[in-house]
Amino acid sequence: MRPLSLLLCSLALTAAVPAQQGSIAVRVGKAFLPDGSVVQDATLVVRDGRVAAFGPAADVEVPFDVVLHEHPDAVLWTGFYEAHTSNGMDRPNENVPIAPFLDVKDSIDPVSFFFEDSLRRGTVAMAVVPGNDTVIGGRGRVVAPHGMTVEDMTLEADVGVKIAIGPKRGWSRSAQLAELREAELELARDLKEIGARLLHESETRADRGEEPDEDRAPGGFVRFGDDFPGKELITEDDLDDTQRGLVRILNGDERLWVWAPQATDLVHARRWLEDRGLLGNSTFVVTSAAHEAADQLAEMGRPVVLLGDPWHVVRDPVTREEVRTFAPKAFHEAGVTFALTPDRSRLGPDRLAYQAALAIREGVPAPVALAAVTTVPAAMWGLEDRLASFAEGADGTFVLLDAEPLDPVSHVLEVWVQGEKVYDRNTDERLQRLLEGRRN
Amino acid sequence: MILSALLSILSSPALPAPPVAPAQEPLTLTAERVHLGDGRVLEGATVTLEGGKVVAVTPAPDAAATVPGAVLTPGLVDPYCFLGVGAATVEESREVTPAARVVDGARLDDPALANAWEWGVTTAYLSPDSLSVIGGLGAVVKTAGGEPADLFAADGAAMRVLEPEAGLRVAISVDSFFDNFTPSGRFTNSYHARRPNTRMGSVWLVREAFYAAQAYREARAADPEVAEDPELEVLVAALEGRVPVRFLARRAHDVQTALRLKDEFGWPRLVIEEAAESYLVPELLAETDGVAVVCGPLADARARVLATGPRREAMAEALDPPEICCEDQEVHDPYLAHAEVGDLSGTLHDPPAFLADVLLATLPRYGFASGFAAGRVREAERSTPASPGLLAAHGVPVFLAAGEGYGAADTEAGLMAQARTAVRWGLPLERAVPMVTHDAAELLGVGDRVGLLAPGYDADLVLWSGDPLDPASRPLLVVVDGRVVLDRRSQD
Repeated sequence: MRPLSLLLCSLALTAAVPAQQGSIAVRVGKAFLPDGSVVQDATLVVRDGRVAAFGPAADVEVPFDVVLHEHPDAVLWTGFYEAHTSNGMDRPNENVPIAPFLDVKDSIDPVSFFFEDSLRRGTVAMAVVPGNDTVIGGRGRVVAPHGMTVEDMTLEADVGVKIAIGPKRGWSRSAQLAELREAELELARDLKEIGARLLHESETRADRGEEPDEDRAPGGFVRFGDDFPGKELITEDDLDDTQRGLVRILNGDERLWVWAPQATDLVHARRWLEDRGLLGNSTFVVTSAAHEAADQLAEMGRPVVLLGDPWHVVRDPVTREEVRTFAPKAFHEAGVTFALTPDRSRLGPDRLAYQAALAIREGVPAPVALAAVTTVPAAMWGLEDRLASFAEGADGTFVLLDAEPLDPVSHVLEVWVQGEKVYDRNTDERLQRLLEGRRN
Repeated sequence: MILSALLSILSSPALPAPPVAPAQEPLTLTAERVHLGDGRVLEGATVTLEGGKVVAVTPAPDAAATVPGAVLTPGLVDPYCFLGVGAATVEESREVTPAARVVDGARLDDPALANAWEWGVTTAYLSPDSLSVIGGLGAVVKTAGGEPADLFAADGAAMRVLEPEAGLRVAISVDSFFDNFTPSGRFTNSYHARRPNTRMGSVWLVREAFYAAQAYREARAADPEVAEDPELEVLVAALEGRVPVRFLARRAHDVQTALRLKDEFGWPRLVIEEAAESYLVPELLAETDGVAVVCGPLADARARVLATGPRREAMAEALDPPEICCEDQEVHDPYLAHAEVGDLSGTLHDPPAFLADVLLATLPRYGFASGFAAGRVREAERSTPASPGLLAAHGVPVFLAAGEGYGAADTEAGLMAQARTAVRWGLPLERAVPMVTHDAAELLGVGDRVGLLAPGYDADLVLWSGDPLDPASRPLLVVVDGRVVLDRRSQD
């Protein structure tokens, strides 16, 4: 009888103090913010997954029902943000070049090592976008690197569509642009046919004296390009998936991730986007070679994701000397807003912290370098109010480190996403294996 | 007539003499922190250089720094790299070429030298490639100040040889035999149709060579009339410890083989190179005298192999491109992506992914050596960046090297980048600078002249913009033999 009553007692106690899901307070020796500023002895209160309060410990009151964790030696950090990646999917591209109907939702693998490893490096959110080996690649989304389903991981389900101006693997630039033009021409032809059919149907109905079909949604889905008979009658349901996706893009309804790796691609991209009035929706995805068009980028006024290695190295064809350019510095000097991404081929640059430190070394001001791995990506996704910030109402997502985030020997101790602990260095079995050099 | 005219031109006193190095002004540098190179750190000191040597290191805690916040270290010493050494600097026609000297084939004015001293490396050991079993003799050089600079190249853009015979390269790993094949059924008019095709065969060639050397030494001792054999002389020098045996051993069992051979032949000095798996046998290494371990280039191979799922696909597709279209092309096995680490090595089903990842992690971008790339693909899969820290914790003399990491674009792969990674993965911070300066110089046998900021030592030093282990720091000033080869002070 006795054990049973104890059990009942403990059950009653558990019920009496409900766990505050997503609520936590941390008091740390130091908080480091994306603008480079530091708050000593700071407290962050997260309630129901959102920041409820942040500031010097003396000014922040911790509610009685929120558990306070004290880490006097730790540094609180907003975490790193990866503006664009095609990792974490089973494969980044479909083999058909025009695939606006795809969604990374169907491809993201929540248990992929990529996400686990991102947590280990203090990356708390990334936009997973279809790869660049495409013409129109499909829809990306912003995820946190934690959760057993894509829905659990998702922070923002629609972060825009990939469109590649730079050539697909094995294609020439002209083939790439021709494919894009052909897709548009085909769409225009199809739309005219559909418009003509709908017009004919509606006229036939009117001739017969029938009432218009009340189940039909109002038309006007197609809003771009020249008028043609029946254009205003077309609804979303009259189109197939490819047509619908292309119309959305050309209507200007989609945010676009424009893959334009080299300067010459940027020139083509600019023309294509400006002709269609889509420049304002675009974020450019480039390599370091794009610094040669930094002025063009500045004129366009659109942000840029720099993929991988920030160094651009060419050998002068005449002098045979190597000319090295640090692309982020060129972007900064031209006035281009940019995000940095990891170079996963090398140890060190595979961390966003390293890329930011490298940018500082090469003359990019520290706040700009820090923004490139925090607030700039968040703004690219339209989530600047929620991410990379400890403002009230922002996501309660943060990282605890044992030193300042750009310190070369800082390590991620814990990662919390929306008030839930999702990583703890002490229980990171894979890291411990590498660190301890265990035989298996 | 023509001949005499030519001769007169050739002997004309009007021809300019090779320029003489300009007289070096004494140089005095003051820094808020000075790493002497042997672990001692002075908070505030002045270093005076004159005539290519350090003449004084004076504590000066209150003196104004040359550059505020800057840190002074000795020039870095890389104990294993391939500056100026391409794939063709090993004589492949035979597997055993002990007398081949890398210094005779290395490009002494290689443009990559600038990438080395730009990142603070002033002394380096150039290794022969690993395509042969006994590949020849490596050299210790300064990365600037060499002769060709005076004759052909821009000032300082050439290496100066300190010791042309500084180590004997032995490789029994896959590098040494991967391009050999058995003659049957294939064309045989290639020198690659030969032994070895296995580690056993490689080790036998090593044994055979050293047996011959032992016999030669005995014969010469007994009878001075026995003709001198330059190749066997090199092996005798290795037997007697005048030249260390530098043994490429990525895998733990290769380390065991190296130690067995050391025991068998009594090699007094053994250096394990590219020690990717040495951390698995630290006790064995710690209890053996006369053995040192050179780690690097460091790779996070296990994590990397698993980390890059999509890249596996990309590489698999590149090697075996699918036809455009069709649902039935779907061959991807999602379970494979999460296969255990052990399953990733070398099975026929999987090599493309493995190739891609290790190649991308380790392939140099500049003048790469084919043997290493091939070998690392097969053998570095169990490396961990924690290796140097783990070995140091067991008391194993451990060193760091950048290998091919001085490629033009590989700004983050040089020696200090290796140290940075090692520290991040557990090497005690205070060990890092000595490990890449004076300790490495001792390993190379030049510890009495480089790697230390002390009177009488060569005037090789680096002024860093901040803590040298911080990725946000870079060299502001690099001095080799008292000559300034890099000066960025005005830029910062």
